[in-house]
Amino acid sequence: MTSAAEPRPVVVEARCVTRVFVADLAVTAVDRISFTVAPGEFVAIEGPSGSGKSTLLHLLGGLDLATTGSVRFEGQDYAAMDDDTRSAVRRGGIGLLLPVVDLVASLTVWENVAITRLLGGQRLVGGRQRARELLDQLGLGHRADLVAGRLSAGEAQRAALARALFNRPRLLLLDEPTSSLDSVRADEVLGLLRQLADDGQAVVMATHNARAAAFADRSARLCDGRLVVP
Amino acid sequence: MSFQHALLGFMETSPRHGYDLKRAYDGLFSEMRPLRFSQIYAILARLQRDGLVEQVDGPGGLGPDRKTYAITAEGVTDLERWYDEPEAAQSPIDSTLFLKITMALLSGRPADSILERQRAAHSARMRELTRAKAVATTEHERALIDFALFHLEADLRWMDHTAQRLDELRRDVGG
Ligand SMILES: Nc1ncnc2c1ncn2[C@@H]1O[C@H](COP(=O)(O)OP(=O)(O)OP(=O)(O)O)[C@@H](O)[C@H]1O
Ligand SMILES: [Mg+2]
Repeated sequence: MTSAAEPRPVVVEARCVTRVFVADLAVTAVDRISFTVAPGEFVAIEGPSGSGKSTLLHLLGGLDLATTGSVRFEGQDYAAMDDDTRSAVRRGGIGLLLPVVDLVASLTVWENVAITRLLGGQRLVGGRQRARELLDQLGLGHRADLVAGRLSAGEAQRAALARALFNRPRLLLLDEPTSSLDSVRADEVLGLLRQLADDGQAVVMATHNARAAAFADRSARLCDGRLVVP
Repeated sequence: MSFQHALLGFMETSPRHGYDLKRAYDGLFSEMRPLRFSQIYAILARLQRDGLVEQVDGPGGLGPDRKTYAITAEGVTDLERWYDEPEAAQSPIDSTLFLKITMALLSGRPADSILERQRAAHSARMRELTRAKAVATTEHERALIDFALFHLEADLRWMDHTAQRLDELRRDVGG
């Protein structure tokens, strides 16, 4: 039962999170950012190159840990989990699309989409139907049985998105998901993301593209690792 | 905006009276830029003077709107020339934003926060248009919204580009 008094559910929450990379000199890639995403919210992260978008996305997905501050996924602090727990949480709850698409070139496209089943100790073939449905939705149904190494960059990007959606994640994290797509294909993909969000999916997308960001409910803009408030 | 050629284009398909022209125009372009009856009659008078349209017998409109106009051979030639010649690749007429940023730098005002607020306004408008596009029912409507979206995107790209060069620009304009 939900009542008006109940607090809004939160999928992921960053509290005053900072990430400092130390190499020759220290770089504060993300600087005291607080950020919350609820189910059904579609949030864009914008900002110039090097402003910290990808770093923030990694922190939200537990791929990287904050230097100070905390990031909680469904109330659980990533920093308090051991590596195995963190991996399991990611596998079960988070769909991820990174800018460098890493499909297994020798498997078919649909097998790539369903590949998470292998990690869960299941056979691929049980995921065939769902993989095909997702590929259809992304306009790639006709490529399902092709070996993934044959895909164009834009097709590979959409196949990787289908893979990210396969497990019905509660949180979808996308880093430049339309960078390899022409504007018509990009609109189709973004329209699908919008529809998923309208159906309750939490989506966070880092992008340089203002037309892509306009599909989101709101934008968080970064500059030198800080949130910009206009 | 070439109202004249839009009207000639409608008359090319069949003779029209003013009310017809207004309805045809509004059906396709009113959201882009409204065209009043008084403007239509002014354009028709000029086209008639120049021999590009003529009055013909027709079913006749209601009230004062009784005259029917048809395109002449000269009118068709003019229209064809218009289609054949690419439009001048002109920069946008509304460069208020460029002017504002230049003047802000010149007067020592915080151009970066002016840009940031403008950015937010542009982004909000783009979100609104994107939502409208999702519920648009015709391809014509979507194409018109896209036209606006791509132009707003171009503005935003200019703002992002310029935001990273404000110091140099300030020195340049002597601010
Ligand atoms: N592993 C790392 N080691 C050292 N510095 C890093 C590392 N990852 C990111 N950085 C630095 O952190 C800053 C933010 O990088 P990030 O990749 O988050 O930017 P971005 O906004 O995603 O940029 P882009 O739009 O180019 O993808 C940059 O200065 C970058 O050099
Ligand atoms: Mg990045």
